[in-house]
Amino acid sequence: MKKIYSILILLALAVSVYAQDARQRTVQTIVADVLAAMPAQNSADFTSQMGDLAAAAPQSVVEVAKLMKPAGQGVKNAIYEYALQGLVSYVNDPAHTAKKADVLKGLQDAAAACSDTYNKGLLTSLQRMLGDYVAPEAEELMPVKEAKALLKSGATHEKCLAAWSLMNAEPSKALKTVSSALKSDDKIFRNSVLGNATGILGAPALVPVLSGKFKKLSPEAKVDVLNWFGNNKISSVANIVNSSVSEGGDVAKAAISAAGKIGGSAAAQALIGQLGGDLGQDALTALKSFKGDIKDDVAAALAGKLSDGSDKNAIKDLISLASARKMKNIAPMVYSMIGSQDKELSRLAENALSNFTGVNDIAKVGGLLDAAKGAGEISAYQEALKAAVHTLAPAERYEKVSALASAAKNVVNFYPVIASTGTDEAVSDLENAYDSGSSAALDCLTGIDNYKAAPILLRAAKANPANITKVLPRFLSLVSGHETDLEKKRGYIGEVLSLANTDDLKNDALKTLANVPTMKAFLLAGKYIDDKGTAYAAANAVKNIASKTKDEIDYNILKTNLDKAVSVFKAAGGADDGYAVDEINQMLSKAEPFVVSQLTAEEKKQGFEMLFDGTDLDKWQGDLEGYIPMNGTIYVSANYGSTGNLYTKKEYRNFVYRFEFCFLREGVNNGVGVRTPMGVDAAYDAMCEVQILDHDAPMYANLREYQVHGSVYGVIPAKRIKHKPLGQWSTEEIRVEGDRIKVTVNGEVIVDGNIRTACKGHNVAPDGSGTNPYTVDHKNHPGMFNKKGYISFCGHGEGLKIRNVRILDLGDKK
Amino acid sequence: MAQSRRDFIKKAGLGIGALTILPREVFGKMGDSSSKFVAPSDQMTRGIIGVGGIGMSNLHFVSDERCRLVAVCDVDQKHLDNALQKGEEKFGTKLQSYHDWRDLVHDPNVDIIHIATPSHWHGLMAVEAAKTGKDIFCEKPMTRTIGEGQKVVEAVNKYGRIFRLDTWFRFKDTFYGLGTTVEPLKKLVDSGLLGWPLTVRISGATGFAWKFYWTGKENLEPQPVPKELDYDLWLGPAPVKPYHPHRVHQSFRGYWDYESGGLGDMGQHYIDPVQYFLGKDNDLPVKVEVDAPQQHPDAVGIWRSITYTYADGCKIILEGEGFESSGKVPYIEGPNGKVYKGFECTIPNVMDVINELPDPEPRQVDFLDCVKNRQKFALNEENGHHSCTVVNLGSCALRLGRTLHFDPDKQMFINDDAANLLINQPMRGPWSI
Repeated sequence: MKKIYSILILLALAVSVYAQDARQRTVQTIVADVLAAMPAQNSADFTSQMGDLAAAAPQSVVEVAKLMKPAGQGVKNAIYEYALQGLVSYVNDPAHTAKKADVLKGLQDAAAACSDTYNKGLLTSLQRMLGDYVAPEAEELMPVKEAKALLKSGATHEKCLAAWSLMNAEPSKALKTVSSALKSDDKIFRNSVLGNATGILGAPALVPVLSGKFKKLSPEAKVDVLNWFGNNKISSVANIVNSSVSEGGDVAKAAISAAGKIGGSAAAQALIGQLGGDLGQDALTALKSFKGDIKDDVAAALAGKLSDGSDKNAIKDLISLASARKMKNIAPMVYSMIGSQDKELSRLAENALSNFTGVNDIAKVGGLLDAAKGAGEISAYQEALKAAVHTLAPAERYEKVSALASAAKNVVNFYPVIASTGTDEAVSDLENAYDSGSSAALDCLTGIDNYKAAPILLRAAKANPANITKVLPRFLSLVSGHETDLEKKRGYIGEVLSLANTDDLKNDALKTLANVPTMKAFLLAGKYIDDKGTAYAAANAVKNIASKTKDEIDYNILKTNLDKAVSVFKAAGGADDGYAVDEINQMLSKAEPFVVSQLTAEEKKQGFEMLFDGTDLDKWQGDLEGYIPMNGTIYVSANYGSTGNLYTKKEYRNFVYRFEFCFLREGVNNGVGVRTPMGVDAAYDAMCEVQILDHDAPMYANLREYQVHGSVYGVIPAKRIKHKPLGQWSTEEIRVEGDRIKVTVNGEVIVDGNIRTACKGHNVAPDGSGTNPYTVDHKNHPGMFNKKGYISFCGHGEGLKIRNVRILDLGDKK
Repeated sequence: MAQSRRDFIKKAGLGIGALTILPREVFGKMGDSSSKFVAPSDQMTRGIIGVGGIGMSNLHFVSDERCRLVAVCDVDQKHLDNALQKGEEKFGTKLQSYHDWRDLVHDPNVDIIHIATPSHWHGLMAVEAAKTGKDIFCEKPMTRTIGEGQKVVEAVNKYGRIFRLDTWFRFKDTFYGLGTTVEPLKKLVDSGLLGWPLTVRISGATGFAWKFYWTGKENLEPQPVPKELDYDLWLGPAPVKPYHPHRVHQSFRGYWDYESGGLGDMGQHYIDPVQYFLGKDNDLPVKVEVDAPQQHPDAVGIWRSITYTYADGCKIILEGEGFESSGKVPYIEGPNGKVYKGFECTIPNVMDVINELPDPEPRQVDFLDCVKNRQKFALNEENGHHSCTVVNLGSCALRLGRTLHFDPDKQMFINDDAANLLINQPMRGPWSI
């Protein structure tokens, strides 16, 4: 009986209230399933979710809409909005229109039931998106009579409108409008009518009128028509255009520009004829972009001008044109000019030579370079020789140039060309020359695109401050282009920053630093943000680095620097500065401040002192580069050795020392130095070093027992624990009283011993040797009986985080 | 109807009318000292609408002998106060200030309207400026919809106006991380050496960033409108939504009602030069495909890629968030060669070949000269509308989440009502274009 009853209920539900889909889900379930998947991350998911939702329309639409609340604190309508918009897009897709009407009905029903203005607005706009597209009505043209009146009396733009209306209303009469407009003294009107008539009739239809009336036009109107000829590339009016080229003034200017665009051999001749004249520059511009082959025309013109030699301006323009388009056919004339008695001509030819040289000219140019005197001449031939060899492979290039150089009288003249080959041999040749005292060689090393030059440049900067601004900019660009190790890159840039003696150089370095996305680079850049001369480049650098780095950066440091950067950008006030501010605000809105560690009530009562609560390392000294406060923790990247240690500022005798630690990667190695002097190896010269070690890493499979985590290194082995997974925090306490030491990790005591009894009182070998039979590691521990000292962290590289470091100072009491 | 200031001067027959004109010494200092004296009647005047961001930049908040900034307009009183103060500091004069942009557009002392507002206003303002006989300097992106762009082109033509869109990589500067100007690219493409069709990749790997921090926020809690802001006039033709500071000013781009995020912000900068060197200034893609998470109806989201295909097979591929092209990515790829960042090319000694080719056809790159000579600026309403349409095709496809097919001649999507509804979107009354 009971069974039948429930089936009846189910049936009733299915029929009367809820539709079900193929998977027997109710509409509410479908809606819930779809909403849980909103927004879809790809089109396959989208299609499947929206397919389900559409199948259950119109009810599904109503159900989703019902869930929307009026916008307010904590209201999250986004998933419903995604679902509804997605559904509309889905049924709008020509591939899935079957349920369009149902979705529309759902939206209508939902809108009717919705009382919130803005949600209703969304539902209405979605309905609109399901409607048919209706083209907007074309605006009616102005009545002809009205347009004609306006054409007489209107302001310029109204006359333009009137002409536009008239021409559109009666295209057959449009040419008349053009003719009369050409007589107008209103430039705006003329050009407007010309442009619109072209749009209505097409350019060819205007040509007869424009060319027919051309002669009678005012010079101003001629300019407009010539511009029109050029823009529309009307080749049939070449005669008019080309003959206008020699008319002078604005008409000629417009004609030159039009001739350049229209092209043709007559135009080329006309334009070449203008070279050297008042409008020579306009003609030159037109010829530089002139389509088609004009090499022979230029060569003939140049030959003509050279035979006379008086029209220097024309020769100059012709050479300039031939240079721009690399017309190698004029090379013989250029060589002959070099030999000319006329100094102006030979100088012109020298400077242009690089545009015309090829592999066949190597020997000839090499000879000219060896014999060259005066900076201008030398550099012109250097360029020419570079150009002559540039198509060869670098090795062959070097071979040719170094052969010329070794046979040359003035080998220095060849240095820049050697440098331009970029080969390792070139670097070493120039390095040798620099080491033998040639400052020219150093100059050339700054021009070489080979990373092997970088160390030489850095060395030169360190050797002589006068070299700094000369070589370090190049050093930076080499490092920027070639150094792939980010840490090395940052190091090199750091060296430049500390050597730099001008803001320009510092700013250059900061620009390079901006592309080094590491936390350390961020810190380095931040150091330059307070100095006015470097603030802008530093602001850019911190912004770029913060946006690109995958390293973690301390929230306080990040915020301080980015806030400063915002002020810098706001003060600068350029267009991209506004973007920069937005980008930073976006970054800051995503960053989260960290929790500051606090003593427990009990610790407070006992008299513990906080040594590091997450904010700063003010109670610490030593390697403050290798130990950095980072989001509530100390981030350790210090290297092993006497310099990679972080020390308390105070010395301690007896104490309880508590901290938390976490390994970020396998095999992390560090330690706590107890009663240590500064700058020594705590394992031997302190009372002891308590190991911090990820001894579970496979790399430590052969570890000795006195090396495991917590061991009093080399003296008292600890009970081996299993570390928590990487990234999880462990607690540790080290209690030191007299000779006793007790180490507790995660609540478990792993060392509880006496160092003096552990080595039977022999911290060093009684026989004075280096082998001590009384210690487990058979080494001497001369510092073991220190009465007091600092507490330290002894770094062995990256990967450790420490937080919540506190101490109870027990002083002298045992 | 109102007449323009220069019409007026011309009609008065004298260079100096009844207008107050600043002694040139005051602003002469701003100009190039070597430039010729410019008669006051030849000096043009400019008014900026929108002085919160780009309008206040050192690039635009300037006066010189050729063109003087005379008026500013903003719906945020704080912006306006800042601009007035900056005007006094910089030019030693009090700028005319307006709350309602229509008053600035109708100011007979202004020749050139500089539109520096969020882009949902651009089309409307440009059309109105054209109707009142002003020339127009408009910030990118040109318009928020394809339909508004068509209206701008039409109005500029009808009223005989000069229009400049403000992005410039098609005629000067190396663009972004690409490390080259457009000129050698244009010459190389025109030479045919790369073959045809070409694929252009606008990607992090080729030196471009899509600024995905211009995404919108969902679930915004309504906030009180600050008293200095006329939110209704800020919204203008856009639908009314509850105020939240993230919707306006610096972060407006994250909302479809006003723009289309990083695509809208950077798209025209990046795509316009490509349209130019592909020779597609009068052409448009026939297909646009998107790979993106589902988009919210209000807040612009991220996307992975947008691919445009032209009728001849050329493609522009925008690579966005999380799109990892592996290895070295070519900026331009053709059947016979590739060009990478910094104009590195697979064709040996390509510069030798390029250098022998003619330069691209010279273009008008001085806007004030264009205003004077009535010649089209290098980036004008026509080619600007085309490159902006490429951007807007992308945002239509993103919003609809699917591939769209487009007819470049009719500038309509093919048999697709939903997509075509995005071409002409209704404006909130009383605004209409």
